[in-house]
Amino acid sequence: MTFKPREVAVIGGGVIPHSKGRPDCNITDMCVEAYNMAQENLSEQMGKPFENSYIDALVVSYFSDHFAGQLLGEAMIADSLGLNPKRSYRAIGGGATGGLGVQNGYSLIASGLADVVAVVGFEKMSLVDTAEGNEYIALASDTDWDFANGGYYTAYYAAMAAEYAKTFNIPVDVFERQMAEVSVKNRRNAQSNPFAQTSWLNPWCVKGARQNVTGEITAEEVLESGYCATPLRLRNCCLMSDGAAIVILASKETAHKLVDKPIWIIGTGMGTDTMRPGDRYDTVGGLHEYDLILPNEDEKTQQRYKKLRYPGQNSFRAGRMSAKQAYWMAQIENPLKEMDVVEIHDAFSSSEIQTYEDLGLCPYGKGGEFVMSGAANIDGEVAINPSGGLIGMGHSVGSSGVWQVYFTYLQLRGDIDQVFKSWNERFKPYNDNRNIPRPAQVPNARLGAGHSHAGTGSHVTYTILSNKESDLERIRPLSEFPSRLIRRP
Amino acid sequence: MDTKKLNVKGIVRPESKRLMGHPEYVVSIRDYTTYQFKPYGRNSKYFRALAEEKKILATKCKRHGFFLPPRPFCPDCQSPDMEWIDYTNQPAQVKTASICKFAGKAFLDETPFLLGFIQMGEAKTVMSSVVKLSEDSAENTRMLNKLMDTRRYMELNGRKVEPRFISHPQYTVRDIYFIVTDKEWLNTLK
Ligand SMILES: [Zn+2]
Repeated sequence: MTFKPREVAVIGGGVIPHSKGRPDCNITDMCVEAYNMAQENLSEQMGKPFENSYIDALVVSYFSDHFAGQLLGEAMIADSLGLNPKRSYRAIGGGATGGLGVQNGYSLIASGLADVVAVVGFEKMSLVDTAEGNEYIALASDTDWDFANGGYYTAYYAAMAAEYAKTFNIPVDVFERQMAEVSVKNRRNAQSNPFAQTSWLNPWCVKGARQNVTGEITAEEVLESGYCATPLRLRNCCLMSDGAAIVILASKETAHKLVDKPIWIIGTGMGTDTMRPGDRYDTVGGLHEYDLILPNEDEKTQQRYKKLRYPGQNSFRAGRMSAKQAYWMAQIENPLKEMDVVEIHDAFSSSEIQTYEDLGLCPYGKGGEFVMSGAANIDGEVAINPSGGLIGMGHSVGSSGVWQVYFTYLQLRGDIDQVFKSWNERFKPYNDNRNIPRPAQVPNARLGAGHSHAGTGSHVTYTILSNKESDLERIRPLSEFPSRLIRRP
Repeated sequence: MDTKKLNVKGIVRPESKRLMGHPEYVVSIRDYTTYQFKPYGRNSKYFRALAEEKKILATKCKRHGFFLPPRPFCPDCQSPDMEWIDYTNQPAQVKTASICKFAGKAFLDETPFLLGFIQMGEAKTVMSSVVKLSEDSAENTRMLNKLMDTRRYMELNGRKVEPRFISHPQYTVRDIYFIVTDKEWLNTLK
């Protein structure tokens, strides 16, 4: 091995209750509120106050200057967190902004450029109504070629979902039912999370008003909600949110000095694809062509993939690339057996199903059956979106990839129920004294990951965490990642 | 819109305010309207042909084949040596599609509409476009509604289509739309 990256830990973090609108917060308020939670939690762990002076660099991630109503908002965040004149970088890349922020923070430490990094993500989407918001989001499609055809991102995902169902011969009724199951699962999981936009525990949840906005939801209710864009119905779509989240990363040596139970980052995969979904070739045997077969895919599966048109509009090649890298880096041979909890970027129920396959949790075309079997439930083979995901927790774009890592950190520490309970106690005066309905903890979780996804799959990050320090020995440097697409002189 | 301070009392849910003990949060209203002059650069050729000659142009790389939307540089080898080819009369079909009942704000009054990804000729890529089932807007809406109500919308995938050019082009992708040509199938939606 020519180079060994420095080892990096997540040592703490925070998140704010997500909401359709948080009028009590502007962008800096949201970030400071999240940071306050991280400070409090770190101070408890350390037995002394966690102060700004421990942090030597900041990464700020937010997706949209339009939604923020602000250019260079990162300057205001650095200021409000009291970190000037130290280093601050902005990470940005559509829906993967949060995941890119975390991986940027990782890189700063792994490379030796920094020792303790705060990664704070936020998005404030309540400045405009939903239709205007859809138009803002659609500015992240090709504005010469795609935007003018409706200005509506959901339509691209919907057409891709239809192509997916066609490619794998899934009848419409079956597919709609499978997609409903994703929403049911994620909304159910969200109910135990007091920070989730759809949880009754959240002081800022919508009470009353339209049906099914808050609380659990049944498959029938999903299927009765109107189409936004066929085959996607309203309750197959993620939420627009005001929210912020933060994680504090540290080098191994410093992590050990500060806290008792750091969680280790052992894999950081990242893949890309074209902006326009229509530009992705239908390559017969594409998984082979682009060298994207995973180690757990047996001979028979590989033979089947030789005939599969890939990625075209049926799958997210960037997601598969991110998974292949992260698994290689962390030496994970069988993701379904080894991974315990994965926070997937469920922008739509369809994309969660497609992503199971990209992440190698089930074969291509079997994602719907996978969720129907219960394998993705908290007590299933691998808990997918125990936080509630983008459908249940909310989608505060620049912060989503950050809270994915924060909640996974809590899962791997084994104290997520305790953290949720203590915050719910504070929320009780504002949530009718509700108790958490069921545990959020995934039993015996050891390996977890956050999957953060941009555009119609233009950028995907996949970040793997472990609570076993010995897993750090698995790490292989990505500069040696073997791929037919990369020539090393 | 004049910039004036608004008390959000009327637009914020009462229970939201309860958390913070009913303070009066204030928002300002800002006019965010802008006009931009966004160049098409080397793809100008496509938009001129579309608007002025009612033609669809694709590009071809000698090594990597046909592209529509046209690519002025080959995305596979970055070659600038691309041939512009009239693709107007090439066979076209809907590869995949979605009926939209909601849209970005500027497009809300067009709903429901059909967004399709169109495959033409030998192009390796597909192009997004509005697709119509009927030139009559009311009938088009009825047919789209029928496809949704009966969950037959997947039947759109693979349908043959033809391009139509609008009479007052604006030099945007909306200067064309496609229309489904399979009369027999269309009759089942009437
Ligand atoms: Zn070429």
